[in-house]
Amino acid sequence: MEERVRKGIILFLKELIAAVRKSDSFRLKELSNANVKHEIAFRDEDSLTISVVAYALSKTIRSTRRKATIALQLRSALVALNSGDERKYRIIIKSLIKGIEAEDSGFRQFVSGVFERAKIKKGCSLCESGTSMARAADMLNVSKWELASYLGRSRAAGRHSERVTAEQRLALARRLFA
Amino acid sequence: MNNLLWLIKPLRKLFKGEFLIPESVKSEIVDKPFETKRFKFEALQVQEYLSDKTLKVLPDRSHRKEATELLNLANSCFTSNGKPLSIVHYAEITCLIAASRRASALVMDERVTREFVENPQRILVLMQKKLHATIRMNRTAIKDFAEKTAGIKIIRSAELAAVAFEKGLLDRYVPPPGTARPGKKTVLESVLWGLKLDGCAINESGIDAILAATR
Repeated sequence: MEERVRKGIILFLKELIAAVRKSDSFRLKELSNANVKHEIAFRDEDSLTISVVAYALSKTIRSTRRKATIALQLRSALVALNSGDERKYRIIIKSLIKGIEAEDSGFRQFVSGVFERAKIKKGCSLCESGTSMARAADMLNVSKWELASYLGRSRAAGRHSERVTAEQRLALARRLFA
Repeated sequence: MNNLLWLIKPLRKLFKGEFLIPESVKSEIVDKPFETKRFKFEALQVQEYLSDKTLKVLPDRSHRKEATELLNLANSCFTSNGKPLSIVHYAEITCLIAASRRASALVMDERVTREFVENPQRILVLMQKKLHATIRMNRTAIKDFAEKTAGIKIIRSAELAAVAFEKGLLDRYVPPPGTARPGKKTVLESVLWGLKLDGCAINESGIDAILAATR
């Protein structure tokens, strides 16, 4: 992990812990969105993951019964990262995600849906800033079909250059299938 | 998916050539989704056209080295804080390699790879605008990439749908007279919007242009 990224995640975790303690779902969502620029700039999977966690927590923090455990795990992740133990940090975050997903059977489906949506949203942000769809899907381990569909509905879908116009492409297609 | 995959077969007949997909793309649209519950059926639908040879797979071994070199080149074209930005995927690059080997055209709905080939400057503008960071473009790498991908002609599923429409392949969807939205062009309009909303990188003016240009 790059030093710049590590420092960024440490700051992020501190804010995340404070927001979790207050069950402040609005702030959690704000944090998740604010982190987007950072993770895109570095194409960093750790930044992406913690951002996805923040988004998922923004949707679940008010209904979870594991708030204290989540805060504790985030604290341990912070300690691990502060001491430069990236391996331990990743293990803790992975376990945190599993813990949130496995809370109870009814909640599990909702949470895994939330994680999926969070990943798709992050993937969409990556694509909007110049990452290809397959690369974004690969980084986030999401389906390209789902990402394509989300992207197609985003405002960014209309923002691209037309160096080759639709008419020119259509003319080529006509020649191919004449 | 838009339930339009069946169009591949009649289009293939009209084309009088082969429809190829690189092995890495097959892996992305069939093998990987087949391991999930969510997109298993989509994978099966594509598999049907691989099984009957409407779509043929281009083996990875035929272009692996070349594709890896082009991927490394592509992913060294832009840097942020001295770090190269990895913006395209191996599977997308294999499409470019396949297309550069005397293919009549490459059908690609994905925007970034397409712009990389047609207008890389646009990617720089996009990244700078979105990231508010200093992004540098390696002009030598961009030039090399442009040379290696020169001559690749890209169309989208939108243009395929327009041709299918003109050839009457979509006539079964034309609403009969007396229904709420009669007229042939309603079909094309709805198909183009369906494709756009499912990820084909075409903007509204592109849709309007195709609607105006189709016969």
